Amino acid sequence: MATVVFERVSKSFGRVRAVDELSFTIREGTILGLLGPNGSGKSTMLKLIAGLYRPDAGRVTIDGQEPSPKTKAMVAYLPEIDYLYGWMTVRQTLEYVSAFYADWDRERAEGLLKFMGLDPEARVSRLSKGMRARLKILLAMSRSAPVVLLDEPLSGIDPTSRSRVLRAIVSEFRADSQTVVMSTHDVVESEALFDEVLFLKDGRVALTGEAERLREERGKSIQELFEEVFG
Amino acid sequence: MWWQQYKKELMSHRGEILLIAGALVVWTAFLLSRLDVWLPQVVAGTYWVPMGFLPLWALWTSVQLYRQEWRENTAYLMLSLPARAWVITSAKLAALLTAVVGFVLLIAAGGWLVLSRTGVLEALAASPEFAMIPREWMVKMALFAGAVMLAGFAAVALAAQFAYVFSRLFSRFRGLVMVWTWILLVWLVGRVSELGWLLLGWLPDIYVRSLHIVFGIPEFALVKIESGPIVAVALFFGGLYTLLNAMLERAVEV
Repeated sequence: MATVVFERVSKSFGRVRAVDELSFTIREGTILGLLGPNGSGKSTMLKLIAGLYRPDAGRVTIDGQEPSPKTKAMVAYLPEIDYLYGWMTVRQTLEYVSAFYADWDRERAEGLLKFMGLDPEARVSRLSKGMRARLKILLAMSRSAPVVLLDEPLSGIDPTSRSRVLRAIVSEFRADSQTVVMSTHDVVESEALFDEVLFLKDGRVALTGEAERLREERGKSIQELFEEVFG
Repeated sequence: MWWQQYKKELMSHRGEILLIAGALVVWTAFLLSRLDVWLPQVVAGTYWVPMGFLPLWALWTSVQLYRQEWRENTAYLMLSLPARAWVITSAKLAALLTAVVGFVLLIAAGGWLVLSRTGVLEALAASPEFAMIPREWMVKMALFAGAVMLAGFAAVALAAQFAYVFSRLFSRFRGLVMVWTWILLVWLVGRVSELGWLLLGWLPDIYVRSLHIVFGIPEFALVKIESGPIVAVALFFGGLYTLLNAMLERAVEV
């Protein structure tokens, strides 16, 4: 398992401050829901962990180390956008990606391939958006990575695909060895997944805590809390 | 890991590579069809024109190898892989050089066909001067020329890749930054070469045997090549490659 720590991290794009002096520790062995409207800094936070952005100030560490090829081996990252090579087939994509990861679980990948209903010989560019989302989840969940980052995995996909993606996350999550961070603004569907939630507003922590405790203490669902914080 | 990356680079440009290879075959076939219309010397001379475009293609493709990653958002995958930057950069460079070698071999094969059909090759082989050239020397010179050409292409490609990746550090005017970086690098190579000549003059020189046929008698002469500028330029490109890897690993963002 690995602990992800943000220490007074700031990241700006021009005049826009996407993450503002954020300090936060992601607890090991949990599924953390990263919640907030568009532009709240969710994707930036995930990219900082994945090593795709560098902080302007502060420090992000994974198991005490700043993002590097070594920490990238510990992180499975699923971005919101299509980031796969369109000319590759599903099979070629799996072969290419798996070559880089020692923790790639071939059996689990084959199982997920069937569960997701993906044709191994289909070209990535010919897949529907829902199928591409399933493939991305397959790539992230076929590894035994200590940290799994899912950036809007349900964004813009059909209900059937959403349900399969959520079921795959639940069935493949290993609480004893993994930490999952999932950003979303579709709280209703995914709220049952979360052990912890972090509400981000203008790059700062607006509210955080264990999902169950927040529900009990405030007498509201996570969706209602979302509306309260961002409404 | 490296092999997968190299295969990916070659496969992602296979369309372009096949198109150029096809164009070279068509070009050869077209010139062969002109044999009865044009002078053989014109056909044999015109054939080599595509060689002139090869450095331009290498320059363009070097940039494209990286530009495409950002344009198609696959940079997210490339930069999230747990691979040292040299795995990515060397695979891209190797894929480009593989294509260059392939094109050169194709052009050489077509050249042999054109020269033999035009009769130029026969005439050359029948000349007494040609018979005097030692085969061993010819092979050595061909290998030497090939190595120099490959090093030249690698240098052009590396400078272009560096210029592109460096431009990614800026959020605005990337095209302008890339062009100016390229120009600056070309200028720097000239200065570094001069510096190498001045400071590394103590290095042992390289001697190449050149062949002259004077009044039907073959004569070898030793041509001295200063090694100082070569070593300095090689070190410069080594440094540039290290910097390219450092940028890709520690500074560049998606």
